[in-house]
Amino acid sequence: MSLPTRALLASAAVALAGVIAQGAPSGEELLRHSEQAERSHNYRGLRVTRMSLPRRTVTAEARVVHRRPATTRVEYLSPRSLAGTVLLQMGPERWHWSPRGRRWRRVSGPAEVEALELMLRNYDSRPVPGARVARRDCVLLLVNPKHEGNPRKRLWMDRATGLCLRSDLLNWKQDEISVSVFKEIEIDPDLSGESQKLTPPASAPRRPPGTLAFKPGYPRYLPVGYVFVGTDVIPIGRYRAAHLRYSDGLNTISLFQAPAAAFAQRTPFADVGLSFTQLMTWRRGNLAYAIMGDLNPGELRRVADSIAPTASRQR
Amino acid sequence: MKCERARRLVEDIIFASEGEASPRDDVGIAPALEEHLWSCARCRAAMRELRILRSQLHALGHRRAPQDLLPRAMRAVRLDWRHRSAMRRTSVHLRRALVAGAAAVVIAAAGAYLAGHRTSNLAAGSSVTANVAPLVMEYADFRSAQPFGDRDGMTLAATQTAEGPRR
Repeated sequence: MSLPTRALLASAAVALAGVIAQGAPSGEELLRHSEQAERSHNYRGLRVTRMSLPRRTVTAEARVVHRRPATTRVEYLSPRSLAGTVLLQMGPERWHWSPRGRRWRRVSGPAEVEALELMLRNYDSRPVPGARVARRDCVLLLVNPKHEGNPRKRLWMDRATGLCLRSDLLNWKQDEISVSVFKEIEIDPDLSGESQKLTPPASAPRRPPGTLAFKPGYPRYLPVGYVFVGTDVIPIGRYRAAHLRYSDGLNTISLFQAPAAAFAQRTPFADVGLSFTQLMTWRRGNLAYAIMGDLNPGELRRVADSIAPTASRQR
Repeated sequence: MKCERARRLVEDIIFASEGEASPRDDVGIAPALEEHLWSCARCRAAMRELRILRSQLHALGHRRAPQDLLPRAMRAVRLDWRHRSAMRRTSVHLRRALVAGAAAVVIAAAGAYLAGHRTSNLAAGSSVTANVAPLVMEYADFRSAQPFGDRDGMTLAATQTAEGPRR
C-alpha cells in the first residue's frame, strides 16, 4: 500500500472515530437515561451485595421487585441478621419492615432537591466499554468526584434499557467498599402477582413530630459542593436529636445534636473510621454532637469545628 | 419491655459473635431496649458489668483466640448470668465476688493465649458506642436515598456496624 493511501486511510479512521465518539452518549446522558429507565421499566431480580466493614466482609442477598415509575421492594434473604427485612419505597415515601419487631416503620425518604443535578455538578462521569452483568451487555460508567476527598462509583448500565445492574462504591480513600450486582434479572415481567407486596403498609405510624429541648447549631463551613438538604428530629432513647443533612448529590454528611446524655460517652473527641463513613462524636457544654460522612476526616473535622455554639435552653 | 427480656437481649448483644444475629441489628427491637435501659438502673448496671468484661478481653489484643477458647469462657459467664436468680439470693458482696471471679478466670484464660499479640490499634474502628447505633441507621437511610444510592450496602453496613467489629 502506497504512503498516500495509508495516510488517507489513517485520516479516514481518525474522522470515523470522531464521528463515533460524537454519536456515543456522554456520561451525563447515560446517567439521565438510567434515571429515566427506572421510571419506564418494571423489573424483578436477585441482587447480591458484598460490603467491606472494618476487618470483615459481609454479603447480603435480596429479592428486588421494581414497578414503574417509582415503587421498589427489596426483601433481604441473607445474612441471618437481615433475613426477612423488607424495604419498600414508593416515590418519596419509604418503609422498613422488621421481622423481629413485626412492624413497619417509616424511614427518611430522598432529599427534596434535584439530587441528580447536584451529582452532575460535583462528579464527572466517563463511559468505558463494560462487561456483561446478569447475562446482559453493559456500559461501564466511572463516576469520579470533581473535588478530591469524596467517594467514587462504578456503574454498569444495561445497554438495552439503561437500568443500572451493578454498582461499586469506593470510599474517599478509594478503597472498594461495596459491590452490589444483579445475579439474575427479568426486565418488564408481568408483575400482576406482586401487587399485594407493592402496596404501602396499612399502618406505619409516622414518627411523632418532635420538638427539641435546645437550639441546634449550624456549621459555618461546608466542603465544596455540599448543600443543606433538610433537617429532621429523631428519637434516641428518651431524648430527641436534630439531624441536619447535607449532600453533594452522591455523598452525604449527617450532623446530629442532642442533649449530652443521649449518646456522647467520649470526650472531648472520638474519631472512628467505619470504611463506609467516618464518625466523630464530641461533647460541648450540655450538648452531644456526632458527624458522619464518607469524606476526608480533615474536612469533616473542619465542619465540626465550624459549628456555631448556641445558647442552650435544654433541661 | 420487661427486665427479663431486656437482660436476655443485652446478653445476646454483648456476647454475639461475628456473623451471629444480634438484637442491636434489629431496628424493631433496639429502640424499645434502649428505652428500657434508660429507665432501669439495674439492667443498665448489668449491661455495664458485661461490657467491662468484654472490653477487658478486647484490650488484651485483637488476635482471634482458638475457636473454642473464647466461646467456652463466654459460656461460663453466660451460665453465671443465667443463674442470676440464684445469685439474687446471695449477698451483694458475694455476687460481686462471683462476677469478679468469673471475669478474672476468663481474662486470665484469654490473656494466657493472647499475650504477646497485643496491637496498638484499639481505637480505629473498634468502638461505636451503643447509643450511636440509631445515628448510624439514620445516616445509612439518608445516604441510601441518594441517586444510585447503595441501598443494600448501607442497610447491611448499618445493621452490622452498630457495635463495631464483633469478636
